[in-house]
Amino acid sequence: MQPLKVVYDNSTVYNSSNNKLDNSKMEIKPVNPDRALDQKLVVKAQKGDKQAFSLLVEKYQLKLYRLISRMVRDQSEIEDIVQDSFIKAYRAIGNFRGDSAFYTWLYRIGINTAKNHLVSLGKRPKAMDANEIEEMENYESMSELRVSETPESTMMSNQIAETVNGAIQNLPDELREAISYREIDGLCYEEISELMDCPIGTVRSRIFRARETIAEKLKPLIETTNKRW
Amino acid sequence: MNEKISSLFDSEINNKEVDTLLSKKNKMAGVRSSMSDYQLISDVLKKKTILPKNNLTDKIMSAIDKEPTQMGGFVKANSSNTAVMSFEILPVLASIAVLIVIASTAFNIEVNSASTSQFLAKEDIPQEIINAHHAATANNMNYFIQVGDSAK
Amino acid sequence: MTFFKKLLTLLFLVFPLLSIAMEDPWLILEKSAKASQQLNYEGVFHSQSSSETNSTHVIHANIDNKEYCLLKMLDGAPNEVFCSGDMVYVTSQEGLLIKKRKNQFLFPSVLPSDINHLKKNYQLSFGDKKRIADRMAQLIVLTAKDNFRFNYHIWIDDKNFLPLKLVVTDNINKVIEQSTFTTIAFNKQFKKDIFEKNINLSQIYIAKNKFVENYVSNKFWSLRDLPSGFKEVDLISRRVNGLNLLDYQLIFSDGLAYVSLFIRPITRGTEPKEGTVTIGSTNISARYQDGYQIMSVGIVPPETVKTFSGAIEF
Repeated sequence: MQPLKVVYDNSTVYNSSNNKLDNSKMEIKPVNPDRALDQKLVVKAQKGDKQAFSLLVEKYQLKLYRLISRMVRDQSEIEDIVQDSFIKAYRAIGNFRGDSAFYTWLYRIGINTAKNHLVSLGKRPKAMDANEIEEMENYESMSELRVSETPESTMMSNQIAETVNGAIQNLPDELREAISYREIDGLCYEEISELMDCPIGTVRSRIFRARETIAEKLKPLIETTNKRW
Repeated sequence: MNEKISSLFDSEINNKEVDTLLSKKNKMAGVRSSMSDYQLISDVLKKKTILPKNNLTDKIMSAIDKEPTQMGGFVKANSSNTAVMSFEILPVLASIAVLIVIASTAFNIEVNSASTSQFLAKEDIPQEIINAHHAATANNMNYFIQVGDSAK
Repeated sequence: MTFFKKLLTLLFLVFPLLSIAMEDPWLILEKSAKASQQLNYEGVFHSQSSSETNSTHVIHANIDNKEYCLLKMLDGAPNEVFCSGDMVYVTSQEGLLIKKRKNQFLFPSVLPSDINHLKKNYQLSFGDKKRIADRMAQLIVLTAKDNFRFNYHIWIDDKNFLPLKLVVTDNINKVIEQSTFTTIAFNKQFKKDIFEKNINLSQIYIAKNKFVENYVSNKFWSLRDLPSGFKEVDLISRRVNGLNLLDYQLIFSDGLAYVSLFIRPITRGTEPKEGTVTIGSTNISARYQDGYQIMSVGIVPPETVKTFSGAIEF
């Protein structure tokens, strides 16, 4: 019998252990898995837990830094703008209702803070078109950092990269595999556990051990780097 | 504890573990430091431009510590200006409370907040909730076909 | 000798009755569940829930080990549902809607394959036989063992075990809903094309549901103190219209009854709801917690939906 021509166009997604179906025709974007954790931390911050907010700061300060660097070149100015943005976000956290992702909301605050900063310096902020604003939704695209780099900073970055890559190569296979699936392929623990055919707890432990091993190798370098900066 | 931090970094952590981490207030600096290390490793593996570790989070949190604690949109004053805020706000709140009592008595208005109301009207239930339930579980033909129509 | 003859006669008379009594009564329900999947039949049944009544014409066949059915509403809009294995196609004047059948047990396929789950939650007893749609039918009563579920009265065909009538009652014997055949014929031969004739193969159809597996790895909720006998059978996530937000539907069942538990983020401008309400045969309980509207829905006693909505913890 001739198959039906069917176009999938809606957003109901099923999760059931009974059905594994081909999702190659999926048209909607995958959902950000961070959302639930961010929501939990926001709710705690709204109840007065500043430490919960500090975890959100740690999680997003670098991403916000990269975003602002697209508008501002000077490193200390970027840091000031990032700091102001988080303070504004904290002051408004009670009004955040979760109808957008936390980072989307934070990024909008960051963009506006940067624009105001440029205006105050007598500089005309670059107009953000719809595509650039939409890019905020997908923070993976925020990979390019545009700050003034010195030869020394470039050398430092290269050394750090070399150390990390060298440490990865020397990891036992299962640790290297687990952290690669997580960081490079972006898989969640459940997916990695299926691929590696081991419990999720084992995946968690392997990724942690891989990170700790690499961090140990980085320690002397980071301490030296911080002294020089 | 450290394994929890690694899971937190990946957002693969359950609520109890988040609560446990947050309860260890004196260890939060260590938590953030570990997350910062993991971020560096992640940036290298993802071939992003590397930033050296900074103390920006500490600077931001020092500034936020000076801010009044936010409580769900209602600002609760911190200890440094409690007396002043209480003095200014209390008479206003008292007046509003009196007005509400008078209004509800005079006009027979029911003043219910969502947290205390136990009466739910049929109109309050979104039809898509009912449809979604029956679409997934119906043994009655009527529900199934009606859902087919209204789901469009 | 005379005594022994009398004893033997007695045994011959009594033995058939004994053999029926010794057979596990729950097996009859298993036979009934299989009958609804395997038999070929055509008939008309009448359904009533609260104030709504409808008649439906049904054709069901098992062809080459695959289940087909065609149900046509005889009252109101001329909607049709046809099933082919797990796929369900709903045709109406607006077009075709495609779904995947997972937990729907459309009458007369109301019994689950796993009867063991029912044993924990219901007590089985037999009632009188009576004539339904010109067939003799045996009454089987599944009485709830606690107050978390309703009672199910099922009349099954005496010869082939197909459910012919279903009545759901509460603990004071008030009828919640019922379905009953008014005519039925068995053992007809059907061809596949009568089930597929409403599909136009040259047309492109918009499928409203995506049958996609999405691992919900971040269940940010936990459950405590669920009503006994219910287990989670499915979890569905949906994108809230126009927003980058998901809401969740957890489905629980005790084998016969189903409850959905919805977790939906509160969007700006929406006031959260709390309380319990009945709409027709369906009870709904709503609660607000930490920015989420929680609602439980089911054709179960109000206490059950209340317990479900209170069972979520963040």
